[in-house]
Formats: sequence, C-alpha cells, structure tokens
Amino acid sequence: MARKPKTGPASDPELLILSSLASGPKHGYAIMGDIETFAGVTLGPGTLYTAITRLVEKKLIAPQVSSGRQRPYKLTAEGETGLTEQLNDMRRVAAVGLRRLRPA
Amino acid sequence: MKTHHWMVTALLRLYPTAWRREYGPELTGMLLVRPLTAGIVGDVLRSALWQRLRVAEPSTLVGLAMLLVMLNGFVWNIVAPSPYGGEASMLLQNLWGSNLYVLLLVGCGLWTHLRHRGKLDQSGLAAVKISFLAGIPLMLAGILMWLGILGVIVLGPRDTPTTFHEHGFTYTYYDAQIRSCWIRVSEPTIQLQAIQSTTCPPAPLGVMLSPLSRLPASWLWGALGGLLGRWIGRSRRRPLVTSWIPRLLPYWR
Repeated sequence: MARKPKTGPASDPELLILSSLASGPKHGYAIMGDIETFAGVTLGPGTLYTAITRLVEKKLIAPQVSSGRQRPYKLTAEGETGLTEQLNDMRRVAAVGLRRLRPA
Repeated sequence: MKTHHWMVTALLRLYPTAWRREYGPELTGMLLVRPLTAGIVGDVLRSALWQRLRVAEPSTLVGLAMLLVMLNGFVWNIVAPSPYGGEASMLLQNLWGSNLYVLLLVGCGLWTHLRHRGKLDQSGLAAVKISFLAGIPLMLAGILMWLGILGVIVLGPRDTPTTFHEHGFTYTYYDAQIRSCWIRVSEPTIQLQAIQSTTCPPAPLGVMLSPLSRLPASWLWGALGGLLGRWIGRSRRRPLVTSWIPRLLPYWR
C-alpha cells in the first residue's frame, strides 16, 4: 500500500482528483485506482469523498447520471481552467526551484 | 460478511443525512468491496466528523467547545486541583456569572441571526443550547455526587488543596462564603445539626439543577445578540451618510 506524502502538491486530494478526471469521467473507485497509479498515493474513501464533496460545491467537477451505485464525475469547464492554472503555477515554481538547485 | 456490512452501515450513519443521501450509496459500495482496516475506519470517521462540523449550527459548535472546556476543567479539578483563587478554576466554577460567558452567548445569538436572518427566538434558543451543553459536565457531577460516587471538598481562601493521591475521586469546590448547613452527628437522638461553616459542600440536587436554572437568562442574552444582529442588518441596508445628510441640510442653511 502506497504511503500518502505529508507535504507537497501530491498530498492535495483535490488536485489529485482534478488531475485524474482530466483524462475523462470516472467514478470514485476508478479515481482512487488512477491516483494510486499516477501519483503513488492511496486516498482513503473518507478523504476521497470529502474532497469530491468540496469540488462539487465549488462546481469544479459535476456528477453524471448513472443507473448503478457508482456515479461518475466529470471535470467542468471551470474545473479545467482551475486545474490548468494550478498546474502552470506549480510548473513555474518547480522550474525556478530546479534551476536554483542546479550547480552554477 | 454480515459484520462487515453492519460496520459499513454504522459508519455511514455518522454522516449528516443530506450528505448520506447524496454520496452514501457510492461510499457504501466502495467500503463493501475492501477490508475495513483501522486506517480506513479512522479515515471515514474523520471525514464524517468533518461533514458534521460543516453543517453544524454555530450554537452546536460553540456548545460542544464549551462542553469540552468544562469537562477538561472538571477532570483537572479532580486530578490536580489548583490553589484557591486560581483564575482558570474560579472562571470555570463561576462560568455562568462571568462577563466572558455573557459575551459568548450574545455573540452566538448575533452569529445565529446573521446566518439565518430568523426570529429573535432562534437566537435565544441557540444560547440556551450552548448553556445546556456547557452544563452537562456539572449535571453529571451532581448525579455522581447524588449516587455517592463523587466526593466534594470545600476549599476556602486559606486552605491548601489536597492531591489526587490524598482525596481520590473528589471534586474541589472553591468557596469563601460562610453559610448554614446541616451535618450528620453521632448523637442518636439528633441525627442532623445546623452549623455555620465555610466547609458546607453544595447539595447534589442543587449542582444537578443549577445549569438548568441558568437557561432563561441564557435565552435573554442570546435574544439580545439576535437584536444586535437585526440592528446590524438594518444599518447595512441603509447607508449612513445618505440617510443623515438630507435631515441635517435644513439646519445647516
């Protein structure tokens, strides 16, 4: 079982869920598995659904209609913009940090 | 398998009803297909508590915080009583009469009114709820005293507090007033004798009922907070400058 990092962007469940949904609609269980694959982070079911609730309230993701128990979620236009901005900010910070770490 | 299902249902019950209606089936499905480890149970408990706190009324939050503060003070009083005059212990004992507590009730009444824009009654009831929750440890102490489980030591200004090792499961009551009370005596013909003393412990029934006797006053303080909220709401809607300038203009001319 992968351990959840204590700090850093990879510990933010909301960002992880948005990144997971960037590839298309998924239900809770699929989001969890995807995050485990691409980030090496296992989100607990409680943490996952707390983050999903917050994202739905912020209108960054939206639930889709389903017949079964598992309901898929998809990224909204607002969520897509928000994720792009957040990832670009992170890339800028990472680039500066890595440049400064490089020996002169 | 039956235990697993029962545990999942019990965990789901911890979430607020509205949340459960929206996300309950999904979370149930997820919890049913994996083993319930301590980590997962802890994660779900934390999430349920968070969801409860998000939808809780201000009065519930403040009341629960007060309950914890009172319970903490109660436990510390038994384990390590502070000397007479210690600020924290005196404040906890005389909480209902303190200005800080009154301000808290008024503040919660105000908060409730600003949140719901309801009647003053709602703000009053919010303050009553806080007082009731904060009074639970005291009512519990009264019941324990009544059952003879909890002893009481009365500590005057010049007395030294005893340690837990010396007094055991006993509450230290800080009192400097000389009052009349009845004590049991060994004389068979007279079983109770009236004395004037500083060491009269409070009556269990009095301790049990004292938080309830404060509820009407709490209602009034909460309603006052609501009234303040109503006044703030009105002054927000009416800009101060534009409402006063036309009235002052005739005098200026």
